Amino acid sequence: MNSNKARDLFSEYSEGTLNPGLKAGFERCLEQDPALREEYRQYLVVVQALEARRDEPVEAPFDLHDRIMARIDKSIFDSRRAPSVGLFERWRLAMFGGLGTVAVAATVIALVNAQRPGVETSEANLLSGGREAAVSFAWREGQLFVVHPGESVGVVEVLNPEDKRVVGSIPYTSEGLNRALENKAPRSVVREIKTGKQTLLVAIPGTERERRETGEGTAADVARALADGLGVAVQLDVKDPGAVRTWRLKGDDPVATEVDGKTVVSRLPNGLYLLKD
Amino acid sequence: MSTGADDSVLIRQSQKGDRSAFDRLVRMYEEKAYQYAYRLTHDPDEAADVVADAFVRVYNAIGNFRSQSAFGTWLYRIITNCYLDHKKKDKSRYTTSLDTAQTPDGQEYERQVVDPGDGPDVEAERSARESAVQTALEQLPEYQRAMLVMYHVENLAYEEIAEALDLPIGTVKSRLNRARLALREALREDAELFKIG
Repeated sequence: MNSNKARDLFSEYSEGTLNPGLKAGFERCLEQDPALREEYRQYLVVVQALEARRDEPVEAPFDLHDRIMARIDKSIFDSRRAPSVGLFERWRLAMFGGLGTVAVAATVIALVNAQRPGVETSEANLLSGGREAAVSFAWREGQLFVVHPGESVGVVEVLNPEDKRVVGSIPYTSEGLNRALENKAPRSVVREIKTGKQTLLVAIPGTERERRETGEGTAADVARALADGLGVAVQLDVKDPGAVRTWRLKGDDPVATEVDGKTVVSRLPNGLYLLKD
Repeated sequence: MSTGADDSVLIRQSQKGDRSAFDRLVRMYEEKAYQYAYRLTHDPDEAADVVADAFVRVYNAIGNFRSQSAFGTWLYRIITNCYLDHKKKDKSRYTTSLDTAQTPDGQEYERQVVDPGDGPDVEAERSARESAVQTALEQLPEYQRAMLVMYHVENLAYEEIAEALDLPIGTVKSRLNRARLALREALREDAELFKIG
């Protein structure tokens, strides 16, 4: 066996899968060739370094499922909106493809921006698409569901309110939508859920509970304390979100929570709790 | 990638257009899929993008899935293809890992490791080694990287990689060997950490 052939057998030898004849030949080669021996040692070091990565913890983003399903919804949405094109249209698209893309995007933006005035987001019921069908929210089994009955199209965006980064985008189609937003992180997160100019600001509990009986912070901090301590989703509807408030949990009932000495939390029919001034 | 006896039921229901079955199928595989994508990209956003694209392809093609291979292996194949497509489309995209920082002119340089204190710090050395392996992996062609991750990190068998990449087993073995040699060369810069040289 020459060195090149022996090199090809590094992995099989190290895994113990060589037949006895080849194994003996490989070991003879190693014995006789110090350079090959060194190469084999280095091979083992590299493999060991690679395999150490198996233990490296990889935590999926809490909204991964939502991002996947949103991408699928968008793909369905795009494929249904794509017009069938004739020869002239193909030529026109080739010429004005970029403009066409902008126009489609503008249409979608226009649809989600169109809204009826006077609709309260505190009802967790957001209008979109300028049509009758509305997006609604419900808290069930530890998940926040975004629901749309169908009949119209639009987009619901999920943002991180701290940096306004869009963490998820959920287009809905005529097939309807019943999507769970699940927070897989241990602690609660606050998210803005937007369609058009309407915004639902909500604290979604994480997988672990951490009870802080009393504390001081912004409205988001109060909502997170409720979410972390009692495992409930809390919608925020406050005039001055940045103002510092003092909270005190009272037993296991979120409604009994005192904020600046007052009870300002109520339970909504959709299962969310509302923190309102 | 984990498979359960019930994934075949979910696959059949998904093939009939049952959206909730597909949703459950995604839940069953999404974390493992993300783990693989993250190990390829080492970028949380890109990994999530790759996984989302992969599941779109799965959704569109599930009707053609004939269970000749395990669903998990099929998914590996799709994720690998999505990853390769991402890289092709986005060769110019600049990603910044947690272990690197950018100089004002946009070049990346290694962030200085703070002296961990008295004596050798095993944890710091391990972390430096992991970081060096990642940097070395990033220097390899994407295809080699995918093979190394599949075999050595995801623990896939040669047969599964062969199925996932649609290659003969012999080709998988020889390409893996080449990939390991390439990785060893890439790690020469960090010879001290790995005692190579």
